[in-house]
Amino acid sequence: MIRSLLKPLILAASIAAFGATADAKTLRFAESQDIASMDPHAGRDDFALSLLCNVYEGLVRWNADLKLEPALAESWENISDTEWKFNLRKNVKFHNGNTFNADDVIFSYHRAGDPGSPFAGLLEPIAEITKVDDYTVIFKVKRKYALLLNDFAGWYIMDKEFQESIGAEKPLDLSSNAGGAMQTQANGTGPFKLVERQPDVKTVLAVNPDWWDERKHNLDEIVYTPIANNATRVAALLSGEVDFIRNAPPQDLARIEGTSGMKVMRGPHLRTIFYGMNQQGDTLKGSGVEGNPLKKVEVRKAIAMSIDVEGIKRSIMRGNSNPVATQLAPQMPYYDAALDVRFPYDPDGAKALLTQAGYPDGFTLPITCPAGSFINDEQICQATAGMLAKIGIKAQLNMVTPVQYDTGLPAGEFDFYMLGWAGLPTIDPYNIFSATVHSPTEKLGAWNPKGYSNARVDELIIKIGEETDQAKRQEMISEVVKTQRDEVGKIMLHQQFLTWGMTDKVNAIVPGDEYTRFWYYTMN
Amino acid sequence: MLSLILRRLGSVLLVMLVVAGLSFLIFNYLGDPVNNILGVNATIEEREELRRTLGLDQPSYIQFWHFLQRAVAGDFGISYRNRISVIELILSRLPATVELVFCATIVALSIGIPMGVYCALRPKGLISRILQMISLVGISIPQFLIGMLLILIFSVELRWLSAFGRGEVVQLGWWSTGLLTHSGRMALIMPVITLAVFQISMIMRLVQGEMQEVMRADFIKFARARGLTDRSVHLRHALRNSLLPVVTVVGMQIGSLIAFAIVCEAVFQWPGLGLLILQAIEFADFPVMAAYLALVGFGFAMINLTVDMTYLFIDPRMRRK
Repeated sequence: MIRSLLKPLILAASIAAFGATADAKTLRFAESQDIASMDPHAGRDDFALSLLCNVYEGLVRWNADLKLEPALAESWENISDTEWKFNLRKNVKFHNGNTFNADDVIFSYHRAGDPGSPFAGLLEPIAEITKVDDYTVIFKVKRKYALLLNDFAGWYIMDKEFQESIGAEKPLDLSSNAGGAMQTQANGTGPFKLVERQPDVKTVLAVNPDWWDERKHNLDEIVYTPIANNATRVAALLSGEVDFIRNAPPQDLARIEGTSGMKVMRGPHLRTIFYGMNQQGDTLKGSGVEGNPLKKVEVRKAIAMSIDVEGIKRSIMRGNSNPVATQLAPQMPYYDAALDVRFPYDPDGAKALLTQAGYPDGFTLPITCPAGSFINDEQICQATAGMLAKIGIKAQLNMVTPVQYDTGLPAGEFDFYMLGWAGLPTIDPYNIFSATVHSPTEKLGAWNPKGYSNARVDELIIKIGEETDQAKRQEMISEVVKTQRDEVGKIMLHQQFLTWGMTDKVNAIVPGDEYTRFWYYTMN
Repeated sequence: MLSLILRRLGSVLLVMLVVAGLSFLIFNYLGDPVNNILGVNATIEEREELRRTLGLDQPSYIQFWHFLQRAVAGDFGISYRNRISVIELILSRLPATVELVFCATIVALSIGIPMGVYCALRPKGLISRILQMISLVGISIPQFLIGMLLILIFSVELRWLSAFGRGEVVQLGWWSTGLLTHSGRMALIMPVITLAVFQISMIMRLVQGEMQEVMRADFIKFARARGLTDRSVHLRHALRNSLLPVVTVVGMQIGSLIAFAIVCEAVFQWPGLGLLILQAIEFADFPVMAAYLALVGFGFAMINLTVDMTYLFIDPRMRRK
């Protein structure tokens, strides 16, 4: 009896499985982890948003070249220093057929931005939002603010009626049992809609035939599978079970490229990797010397000069990196090539600088390193320890897991640490500066504890956030970059490259922010 | 008798308290989930706010006390990562692991026992020596390596089997099963082999040792003297009497595999409990870890209780104490 009942089910399942493999326009995509939920307001989590950008849209969006372009807003104007008028796109439908209008924008603002919501920080500059008519809204900001559009690209619009009907008017609140409605449901306006989701097993998106924009991709379906183990994920690609893996492990790149029908697409990442350090403490724990050597600019410069970043590129990154002198990657807006000049690699000069600073015999430097946050992070730290030994600094390596790292670092527990910053989702130097360069305060400098601090730089950073004139911003940004470089606020390493493995059938774009914008993808 | 059961139940509670308490102590060293929830762009203020809301700013013992208060009412909280109730989450992952472990155990028993019997009867034969060598390899080779080798051969080279996942599953009420679909059964093959290799070797060695011991016993000599056939002596008398420790050990193995088949599940992306706890550790998902460890403690305590009770019924001498 049970058998006869189940037969049609089994048949349907096997047809579905067969159909999936026979259809050339299904992109099967594997990643190391699953997204936490389908709720684009549940967390400021670029990993989740890099997929959800295919389902939901903001008022504006980043295009293939990471330039802002209109999305759910057709146009906008600055009607005063603190008021922005947005004209919304008409005839846009959510996946369930509901019409998009101003009420959805207002709803999404409150859902994401009300106190206690994860996006409250992103939308903090907004004082209020008013509806002029169904397709016009005015945002009033608390102060002059330069990055409203950048921020809006990372804030997605949800359907008011739908969210109310499933009881998910608020982003998931972890302190009460709100239920997991947004775990398996989604209703956006984007080029793809959710058709099936089993958390941690698979998520299936299908093309949205009613998308407002012109369709440039030719994908009918996207099947997204989390595969945590690196080796298994690569095996799944090599065996033809998936078509596309983002961030192929460095040690497997040659293997993927050497397999016929496979390729690796590379692209520069916006993220630059550097060492930050305690420049404010009066002592350096475990250094074995009086005072805090890292306070002296000569010492910091000596460390920078002792690191052979080209050697790291050659032997550890296998060519997949680009040495940089400043925190702004060349693809970042306001990048200033004239400032991107590293201190030369010169161990003898470094040793002389150390002697000059009063440490002829060096000192012991505790280095804390994440195991798995950045590409080859452990190997780079080990190599750094070896290079520092040549100038008499004895490095004491301490490797910690990413989650412990992300806890200890902002808490100021580390005196010398590796960090990488990409400036997401804003894609503007302001994001990098406010998080990692500004002196630590309640609101800014969360990732610069006990670190670089310069009053003039702090003042400039605030102004960079307010100024809208491009030329003036460029001038101030370059000054911050130059000051920090000359004072060796950070010890810069390199810009990472993205290495995405895929079959020859897939034509992808590899943007510096790692987002998978499937509406630009095609399959042969 | 009743007092003994009550005392045992008391110790079950104590075990669960200790396990949950220890897990709370460990949490302090695992990192702070707030970063994973809020993302890197959160300000220090926002972090503190969420930490307060979640009660993470409280000392461990207070957090533990709150956990106990809610756990008694059956509320283990919401997963920080999956954002659904922890019990729901654990129940949704349970079927995958239970199916995997039971299939692996059945395979291991049906291969391991005959191998053990053969080796016990002909300990000096060539085949026995080969089997013993294989079992030595089986016991010493890490699970991770077996899994990767299988994937390399059967997925990458031959392309016969899927390298990851459970295939298509059928939902029977809250239970999901892969046994009813072709792709589901195919998906079981490699993980089952990976888990079974160690068990086969262990069962074989256990059966062999026990049976060689039993074969020397008097009652076997008497059985032979009665003129019973070899078959009857070996399988009805010798094997039966050697199985008791095998059953005990296999039972405990099933328990620990259901709780901690982590390596195998990670290699094959098997969406079971092992993968869940691994992800929970990486994310510092305290509610999942706390509930999971407490439930595992409960499971093991119950298994032990059942074993003790069984002894009581089997062995009258223990009842008198």
